[in-house]
Amino acid sequence: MSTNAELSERGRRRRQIGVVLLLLIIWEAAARLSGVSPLLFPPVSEVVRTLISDLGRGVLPGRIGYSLLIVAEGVGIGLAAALLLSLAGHANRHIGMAVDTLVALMHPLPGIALLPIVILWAGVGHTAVLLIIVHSVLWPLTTSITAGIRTIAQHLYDVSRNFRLNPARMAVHLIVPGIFPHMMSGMRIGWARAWRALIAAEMVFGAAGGGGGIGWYIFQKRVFMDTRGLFAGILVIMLIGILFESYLFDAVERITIRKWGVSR
Amino acid sequence: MSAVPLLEARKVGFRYGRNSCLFKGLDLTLHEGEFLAVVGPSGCGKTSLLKILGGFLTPGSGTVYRQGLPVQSPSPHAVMVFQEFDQLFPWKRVWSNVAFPLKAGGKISVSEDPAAADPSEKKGPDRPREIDRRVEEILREVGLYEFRRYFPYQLSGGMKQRTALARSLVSRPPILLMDEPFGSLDAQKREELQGLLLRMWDEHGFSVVFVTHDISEALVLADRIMVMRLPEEKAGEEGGPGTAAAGGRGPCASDDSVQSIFLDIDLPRPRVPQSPVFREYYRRIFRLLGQEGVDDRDSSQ
Repeated sequence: MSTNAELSERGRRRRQIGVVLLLLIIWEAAARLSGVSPLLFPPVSEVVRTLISDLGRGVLPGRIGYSLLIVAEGVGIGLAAALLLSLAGHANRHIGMAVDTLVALMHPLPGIALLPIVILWAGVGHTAVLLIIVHSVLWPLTTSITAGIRTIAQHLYDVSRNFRLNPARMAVHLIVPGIFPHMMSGMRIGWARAWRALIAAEMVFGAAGGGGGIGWYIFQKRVFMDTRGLFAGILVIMLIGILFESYLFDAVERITIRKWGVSR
Repeated sequence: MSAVPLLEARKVGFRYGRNSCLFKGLDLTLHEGEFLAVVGPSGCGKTSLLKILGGFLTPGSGTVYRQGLPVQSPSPHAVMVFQEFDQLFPWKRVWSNVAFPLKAGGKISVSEDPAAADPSEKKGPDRPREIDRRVEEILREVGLYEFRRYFPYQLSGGMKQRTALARSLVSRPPILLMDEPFGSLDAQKREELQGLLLRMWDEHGFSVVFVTHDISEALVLADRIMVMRLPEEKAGEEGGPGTAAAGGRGPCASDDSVQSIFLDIDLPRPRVPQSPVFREYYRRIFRLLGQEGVDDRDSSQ
């Protein structure tokens, strides 16, 4: 990447932070000057104070950890299943067609629409939330991994056949790095869907089993009419979303597909 | 040297689709240490022939033998080199691309001692060091050792093909199957790489089947040239294999498929394209491809 691109990237980030600060100032001023009850619309400074105190008391870190853990679990299962489906589809034309059809049917279905059935089948515990997350990531990942396998250059398959790679080495040296660019875009979509589905599911289910996630945190705050806490929860969800979508995925791409010159 | 040819195609035929015939009844022999070039117009099946020789494609009829044994699948004994730059792994640096056959491939000996050349040696503690030594050696030979940490996208076309050449030779295969490997390079780079290939061929003693549509390139490189000619009515027609299939060359009638003619090139190396003998050879092959002068067949083997 050229220095120019890096500079403009940094400039963009700086302007984004400027916009955020401006919004926060407007929020603060509007809350303080409008005379609306802080129970309905608390100033941002109060929200941040609640946020910091809940972080310090360990309430929020526990909730965040719970949410992230269950998303990680669901994405892991979804990724493994997507790999299996796409590889099976690649190996056999008929399976491929079946997988394509299945994806076309399931992909447009929002996870939240499955909630009643999932509750019926798996109750309201950990398994139910996990099922929703797996559903959210599985289909977009299958689509992108299937596309990824198709875009691997035929010559690379030929080279691998030429040196008689066994299937395991074929996967390590060819398939996994070959699908990486597509897998990353699938992960971005999958993650975004999983994160939204998780929060929604948590707010419907409430606490699942041992504890609840960040969605449950917001749910509780509503019960106790703790508006500042409600806003704090929303801020946390936004921040984690940004952290993943703008930083974590970028970082992974920088050390993989951008380094290899196969993206941007 | 054994009496069994290194590579032999007997009565090999290949067709696209159900009804169109590309070539049939084709014979070809590659001797140990020989440099054989295959020239012919596009669409005559040069690449398909090469892939059949390598075991990547199954011939419609006939059999290919490598050292007397029928070829059924690709093997590290006959390594393909392609024209396209995407034959390198984009995610591997030059070093890892070249080390790939030794690190990922099955059962390739890296020992200098032929007696120790058995698969069990693969597990030996010396193998990683031996691989490193071999990779470094071949990278220095193709002049890319300084670029070993580069990714393919950072290389020029010539450097990419040098990397591909190094990768194909690092496992010391007896046969190299090259499909217009320098076809995407400019004239100067092409000449450089032809010289490099000849030097390495001279030193390592492998055999080559080199497909090209460039008569001069074939004449600069090869001991023997196989000229593939399209059947009469197809002569002069342009088009790739796809066109040939769509055009429906029809069933494999006796005189309806590609013919092959072999020419021994009796010229000392390095060969100078400006020399009268070179030009005479050039004209002869040109006429063969142009369908005139069937009388030239007296010079086939």
